[in-house]
Amino acid sequence: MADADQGFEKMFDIWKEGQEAFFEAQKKAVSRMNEMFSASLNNPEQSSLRDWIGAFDFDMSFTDWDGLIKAWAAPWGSKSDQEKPFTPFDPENWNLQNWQQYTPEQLRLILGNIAQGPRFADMATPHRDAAEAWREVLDYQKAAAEFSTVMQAAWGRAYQTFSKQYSLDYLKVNDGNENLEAWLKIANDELLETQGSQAFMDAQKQLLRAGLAVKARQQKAAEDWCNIYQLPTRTEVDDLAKTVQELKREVRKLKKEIAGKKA
Amino acid sequence: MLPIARNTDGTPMDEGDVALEAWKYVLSDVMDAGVKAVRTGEILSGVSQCAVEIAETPSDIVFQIDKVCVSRYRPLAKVRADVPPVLICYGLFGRQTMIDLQEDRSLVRNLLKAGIDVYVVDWGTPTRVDQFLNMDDYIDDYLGSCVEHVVAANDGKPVTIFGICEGGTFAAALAALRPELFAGLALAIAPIDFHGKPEEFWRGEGFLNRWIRNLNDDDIDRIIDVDGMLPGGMTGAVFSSLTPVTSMTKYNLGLKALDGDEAAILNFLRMEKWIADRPDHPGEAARQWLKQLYRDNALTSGEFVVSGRKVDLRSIACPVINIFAMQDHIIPISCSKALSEFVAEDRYEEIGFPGGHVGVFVSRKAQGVVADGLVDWIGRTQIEK
Repeated sequence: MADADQGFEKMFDIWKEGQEAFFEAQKKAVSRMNEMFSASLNNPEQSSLRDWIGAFDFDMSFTDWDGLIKAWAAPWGSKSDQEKPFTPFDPENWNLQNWQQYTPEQLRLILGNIAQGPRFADMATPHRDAAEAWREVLDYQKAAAEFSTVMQAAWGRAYQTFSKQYSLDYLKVNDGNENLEAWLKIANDELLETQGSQAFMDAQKQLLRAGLAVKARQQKAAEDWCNIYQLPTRTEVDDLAKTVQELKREVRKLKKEIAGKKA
Repeated sequence: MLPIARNTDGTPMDEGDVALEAWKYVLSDVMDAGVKAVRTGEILSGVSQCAVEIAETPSDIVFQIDKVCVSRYRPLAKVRADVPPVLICYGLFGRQTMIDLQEDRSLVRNLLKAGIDVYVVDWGTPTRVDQFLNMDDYIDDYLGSCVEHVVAANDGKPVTIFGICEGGTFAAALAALRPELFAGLALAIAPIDFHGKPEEFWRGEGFLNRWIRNLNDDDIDRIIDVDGMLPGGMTGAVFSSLTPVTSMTKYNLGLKALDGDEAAILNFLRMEKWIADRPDHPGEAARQWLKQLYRDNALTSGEFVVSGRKVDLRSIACPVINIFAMQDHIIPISCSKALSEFVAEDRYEEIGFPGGHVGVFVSRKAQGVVADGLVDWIGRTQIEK
């Protein structure tokens, strides 16, 4: 079991770094603004809109904001990603995991540490519940990204198949509706093929599980809220419904027995 | 390999430029499509909600047990055919209104016109209060009571049950448990062997079977425990995904293709009305449906238990007609045809309809193939004694 304090410490460090970078960026921007306003007050000729905008040092601000983002997502803006040429229909470009793998993973680990820390009877439970809830939302986002990756790859393959089978010259001379039908058929075949794949099945199963976990958490929160305000919870209403259902079943059975005896 | 598109200077064209060029060539077709879409749009904007009515054939509720009702349809023929009444039982995943979509696409009307006395089961709208209803309740108690009522109204003589989709599975199970109530058993698009023959599946067939078997018991429990029910929205989304491109394009290309044809647009809207009206499936019954039937295939293995009794399909004693759809994305052909292994050859018939799951009832072609086939089978096999 992970140490809960360790998780809180890591979380605190991230917040601290982020806050420092944020204030640093703000401080410089405010300082430039002050300089600009004092210059304008002293020299009314400099108070045009262009001068006002020009007074901000955007390069410097970007550097500071970049620092803020890096505090959250260490690999942000790595050169290898930036220098890779972009080809619009390369399925890899639509792999959302490439875009979303940084901060959520860090956070997920931290939240896990918090949620799995030693539990006491009455202490810090809301914090742990909140950490669990947050982590489940991140799990859902991750599962959704992985599912999207599978689907985007399918669309990429469909496009590649279509572009291999139908050249631009063919499209020029052929009927547009026929071309559309051809594209839809290729897309449909590819989607059906993908839906039958284990990768799709597993990605969708994970998405389903993650979505249900979030929904169950929301329901638990609703039950807690009902408890606070002394309203009947869903569990209590369900218990009643079950009792009524069993009684109705019993009544139907007895009615049939009576009808059978009369006949 | 087709030649690579090139710029005027001979360099290969960028993928994006190729796509843009292609778009230019189809522009006139896009304009043509726009005109058709506008024609359809004009009709749609003039259609009021009350013009989109379904299930309008007159009927009267003659029996009720909890939320479940049986309606008897008023006759449309002057002379009643000398055959037992037919009780139609749809599943819980959709509504029975599909069998009476509109005047010229109505199984109910076709049977009535043939002089057949028609009853239909309506399961009502299950809510979370009904989440604990199970297969014992639906098959033995509810459907059993509905059949008993129709049998009593038929002077105690057995009747024909026509089970559709999940309702077909219910009807087959009841026919095995209480054969004395059945003069005939007609099934349509009904799963019997829930695993089917995967080696015979065509592309897109059997997805639902694989999808459910990919889930474990905990997954199924979680799906149902979260809502208490199997949500209709969820089953609707899964059904839509079985025909991905059709589902994606029906509100754009599909409507465009109707090109302002009012009758076709109204037919489209009636189907939409039926699709949108998808009730939640009671949780406990859904749990059994998914675990015992879809995953464990308990009906064909003889392990499916209803009200404490194992369902043995070999106990079905009446004539059987089994209708399946050749392009059914929901229920694979082999899942339906499996019933032939349990019923004596001289009492078993099949109709393979060249269409999809719902097309069996709502397509124009089905009115001749399915309805006429059913009327013919009833006439040949079930002369009332």
